[in-house]
Amino acid sequence: MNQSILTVGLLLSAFAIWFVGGLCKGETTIRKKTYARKNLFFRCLSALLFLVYLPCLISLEAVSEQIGLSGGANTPTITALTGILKWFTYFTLAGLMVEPFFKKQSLTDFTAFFAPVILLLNAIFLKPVATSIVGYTDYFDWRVVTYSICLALAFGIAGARLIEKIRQTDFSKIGVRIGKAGLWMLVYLPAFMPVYLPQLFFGIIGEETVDFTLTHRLLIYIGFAFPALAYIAFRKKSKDERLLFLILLSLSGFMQYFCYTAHRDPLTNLPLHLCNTAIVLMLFAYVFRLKSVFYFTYLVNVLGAFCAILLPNTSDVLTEAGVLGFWYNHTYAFALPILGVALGIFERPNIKLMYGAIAAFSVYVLSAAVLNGWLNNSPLNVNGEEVDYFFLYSDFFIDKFAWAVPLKYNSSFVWKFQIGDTMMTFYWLYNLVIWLAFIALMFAIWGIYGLLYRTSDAHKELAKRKVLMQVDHAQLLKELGGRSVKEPLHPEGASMIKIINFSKTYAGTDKKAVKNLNLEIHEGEVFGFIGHNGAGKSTTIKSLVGIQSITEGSIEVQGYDIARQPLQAKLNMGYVSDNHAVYENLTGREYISYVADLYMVSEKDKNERIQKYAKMFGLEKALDNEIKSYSHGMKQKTMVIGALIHNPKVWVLDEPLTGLDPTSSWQIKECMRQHADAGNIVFFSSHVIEVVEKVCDRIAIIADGTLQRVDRVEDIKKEGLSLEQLYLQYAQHPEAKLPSVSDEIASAQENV
Amino acid sequence: MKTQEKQLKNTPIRRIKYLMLLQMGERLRLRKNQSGKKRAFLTFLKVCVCIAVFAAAYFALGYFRDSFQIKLSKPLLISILFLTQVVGVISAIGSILSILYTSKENTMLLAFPCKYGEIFISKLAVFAVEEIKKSCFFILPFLIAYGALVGGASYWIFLLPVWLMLCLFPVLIGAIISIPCIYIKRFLEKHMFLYALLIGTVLVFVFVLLTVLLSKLPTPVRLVAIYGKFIVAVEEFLASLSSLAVWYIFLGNLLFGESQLWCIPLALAVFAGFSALCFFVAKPFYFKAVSSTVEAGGNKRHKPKHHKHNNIFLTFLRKEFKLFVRNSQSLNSAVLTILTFPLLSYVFNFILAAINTNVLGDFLSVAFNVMITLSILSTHNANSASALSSEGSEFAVLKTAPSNTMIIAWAKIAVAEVVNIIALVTTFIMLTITTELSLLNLGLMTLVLFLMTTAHIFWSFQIDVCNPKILDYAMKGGDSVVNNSNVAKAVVIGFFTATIAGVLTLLLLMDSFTSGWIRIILLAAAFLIIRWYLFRRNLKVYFNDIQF
Repeated sequence: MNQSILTVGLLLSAFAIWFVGGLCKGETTIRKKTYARKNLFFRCLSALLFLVYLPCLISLEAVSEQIGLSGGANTPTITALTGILKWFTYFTLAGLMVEPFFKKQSLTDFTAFFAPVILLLNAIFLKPVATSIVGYTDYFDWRVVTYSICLALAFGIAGARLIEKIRQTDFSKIGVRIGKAGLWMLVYLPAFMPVYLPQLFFGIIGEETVDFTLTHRLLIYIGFAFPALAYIAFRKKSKDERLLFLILLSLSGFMQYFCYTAHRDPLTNLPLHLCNTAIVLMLFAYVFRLKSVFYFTYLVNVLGAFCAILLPNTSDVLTEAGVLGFWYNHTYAFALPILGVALGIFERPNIKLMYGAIAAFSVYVLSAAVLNGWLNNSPLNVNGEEVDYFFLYSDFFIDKFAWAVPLKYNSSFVWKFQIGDTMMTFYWLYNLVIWLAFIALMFAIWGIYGLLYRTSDAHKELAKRKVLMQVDHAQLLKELGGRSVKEPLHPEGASMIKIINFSKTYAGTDKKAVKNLNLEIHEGEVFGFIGHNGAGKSTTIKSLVGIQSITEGSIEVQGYDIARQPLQAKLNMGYVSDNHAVYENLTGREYISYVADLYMVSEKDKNERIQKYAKMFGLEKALDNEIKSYSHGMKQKTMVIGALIHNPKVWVLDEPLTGLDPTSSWQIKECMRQHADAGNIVFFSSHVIEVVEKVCDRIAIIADGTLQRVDRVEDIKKEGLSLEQLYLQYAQHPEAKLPSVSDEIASAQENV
Repeated sequence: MKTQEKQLKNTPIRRIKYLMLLQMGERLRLRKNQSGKKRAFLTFLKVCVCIAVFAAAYFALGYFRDSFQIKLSKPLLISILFLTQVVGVISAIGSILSILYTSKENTMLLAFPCKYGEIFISKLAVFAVEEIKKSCFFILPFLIAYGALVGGASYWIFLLPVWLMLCLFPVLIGAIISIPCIYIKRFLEKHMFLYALLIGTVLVFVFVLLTVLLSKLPTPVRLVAIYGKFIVAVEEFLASLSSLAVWYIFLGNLLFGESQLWCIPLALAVFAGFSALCFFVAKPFYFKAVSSTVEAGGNKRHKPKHHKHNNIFLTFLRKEFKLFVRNSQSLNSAVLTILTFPLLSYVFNFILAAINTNVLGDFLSVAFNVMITLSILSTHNANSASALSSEGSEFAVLKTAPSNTMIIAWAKIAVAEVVNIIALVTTFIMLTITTELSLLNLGLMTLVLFLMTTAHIFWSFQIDVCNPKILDYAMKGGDSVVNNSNVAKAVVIGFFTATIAGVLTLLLLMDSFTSGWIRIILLAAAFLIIRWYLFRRNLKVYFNDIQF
């Protein structure tokens, strides 16, 4: 009789809430403009549901202490069904607490289609449910009454959502949506299983053991695998969805915590001890985005939880509520903060956030010290149990570090004073040292996180670059239009060097070393590239030969793009650097052979060319000596032979004549001329204006990274100008960009 | 007029200052580029490290005093200081040889309008500043910790001057000893046969000495039974050792407030004497030694050999092998590893065998072998973290060649692997002969070590590929880059890997012998595969991006 009255009462209350909700928005139909007000109402209702549910969580449920299905106030079958119902109810209540705050279809569908059924079952089976809470049938016990109010509030939200769906006649693909909502529920259900449920169903299985068993291993593997799997599953979801996941998880941690600790002495059971604090704080940190609180747990509790998972001080009794509770608690305390940062809800900690975390931690330590000092000596502590939040009061640390005994027990370091009946006691130095040690630990953990972030970033960057390389290659294939990658990208440029809008910016600077350079050099030409120190000559040359990357534009050698077809382009080039890049411990012959092998020159050609060039440069006798015994000029000549060993179409030289004696200089100049006369390109940079004037067919002047002018040497001479004058003009006033002599002649010819 | 004034002010002290600033320029510039906050934070971190070292030293010393009844006395401090100084001097000689004589920047510095003596002093001063900075993280916190436990007023008064002298003393001694060392080094480089003979003689001498010393160990060693005697013997040894280190006795007396009246002038006199010796004896040799390094090297001829193949890998391998054999530093390092490592293993296992009395001892022995072998080999293999960078300006050849030049990495790894395998095989043979560990245990252990060290080589190489220091090597010359952070990182990684591998080996073998070995090998193989995969991936992505 009583049950029927209560059930009807519950349903009426739910209807009343829904109706009041309707009144609040002024009408009962759902329209977009009234959605915000209505949602605010349901948000308040959800918050109220959480607040009303708190006393239910904190109070002791009789069923949490029951071992096995028989032996309780209900029959085994009813007890089992009630246990399962309670499991689903935990989840339903959590879902209803968060539902108005998130736009998640599966969650709304769950609220509309599953929650009313589960809540209705609670109302129908209120008697066994009430018995499971208080241990006997008493509908007017405050715990049952509070639970009923929760159910009524929950009905209100769930019923409103169901009616909403009915009014909207939103039944498209209803089967699929219910299925998805069911699946969504199944994903979260394990997190909400009351930790006493296995103990209730199966009793206590296993034996007390001190050995490290398979059970321990399994729990450790799951504990560490869980955050990894959760990260993989949620990393690509929307931020809203990631937040919903973390809030539901922290809510489940919050509920689980109270599931197994409620039977302890309330004074010693405040959530102020290690991971318990984290579990309680984490929910509020996620809901209200409390950064200081979050980073406090992230930097302090994760390590503790990690150690607790790794070295569980539990027995092999897997089904016992205490064992499972311990595991759940620490798994949450380990996973929740890590996932918060990994899933991008909270940023990576910086020094400012560290200060916040230290402040939160300091408040926590202070609270723990005050409560320890007070409760251990207070008449309120009737049973005289030791209150030891954060091990600040007991000898836990001292047992491990004997040297710290005087820090705690030396009378100078103990502070006592009387407040009422209580003699407050503080071990101030001991607590201060612990506080400092943990702050140092926070910094150390911050460093470890930093290391992990860097590793993770490096892997992400690697994957990104790999994809970019594939995209570039695909683009090249597309541009080649079915031709082989060994063929030139632009066959029309097969006999030239073509530099198109080339710019180069070095890493760590915004300044362009070379700006928008355009140049074409044709076969049979000796081309001189002149400019002051730092003008951009070497930068251009290094990008041309592939030593440095190209920031903007492109460079083509014999029609091959140096950035995208580097091997084919380089096969056509020989390069003499400005800094004797030769292996000093090799002999000249070994070095040249090494280069010849890299350029895939046949043995016969190699030997012939070594003979020819060694004779030409007078290196025959020194060729089998180690290069470190060579003079500057000999090294330069060795490099020249190395660059010419494959008879390249394009020969690039960076300051080739610096520091050479007249004979060596003449030999190299002759070689350059001969190479160009054979139909090849010689491109070189130099400061020696006379040489450039004498050897080159065309020249380019570059100043401050900008190409100033390109001229034929003959044209300059015809105009009666000297290259030196021209060069000095640009070197001193690079901004005075004048039309090239060739342009002037062309213009004059046009006028004629 | 102003220029003249400036020139007048250009005193030797100013020139030395400018030379120092020039040499420290890179680091100073880096620091200048950092924001104030970052600098403050880095300073804070450094202070934290100092405090952590102090705390560790304080507790370790306290622990030894309380648990092992070792008195924290003056002789103990003198002995510790003496031993650390011996290590400091040896390490200083190596660094000074590179910095003073073989650095590429010498050619630039020698051309400046200043005296060679000023360059010499500035180089030593820069090195001394670095040494003082380094000692802030070890010697200073250690001295403070020692003082916190036993120090009186005198200790704190003389702490700073003593610390400074302790930092500078190895630099002065190192500078003096480096003079004959550079000549001996060059002489031996020219006479490889003599070099090999010397190494062989030293090796035989060390082996005989070790065998004699080890034969004096009582078998089995019962540490608990001989503990009292052991402590007395240690104290006697420390006392005799400290009596030898005269100068350090002066420093000890200063700290412990004994005979200060004559110790202060004597300590200062010895210090001043060494400074003068360094300036008047080492300095004149400096220019001679440096100029002969800068001048063209020996006129060594090699017979031309013809290789008829077009395989890029073999080309690189041949070149790497030639450079490895002809570079005295890399060859010395490899030879030392190959020869000293089995000796160390022999000593270590001999002592372990003397203590070992049960099955757990066997497991402990294997685990420690794994840990120590990995630590030592990793230190040598960490050189792979500079393998690509050490190409220096020659890297241009690789960048401009029309071949898949990243194959050079595999050739370099192959050379490193050869040294690694030779070291492992010689150790295996040595242990097979000298220890009582079963052949199966030794074989499996060697296999695990091979897998782990190879993985470490890949890892070290990857560090270099991802963050090459080619420009440093191109500017300073290969042998002069002594503080390559990549190598330091690889050493630290090697140390951690070794520790984890040792602990895992012990735990898994204790769990079950057969499945333990299978799991250890599987884990080592997995480690190798992961490192190989990551190395390959990084090489493919980053090699072509390397530029300088």
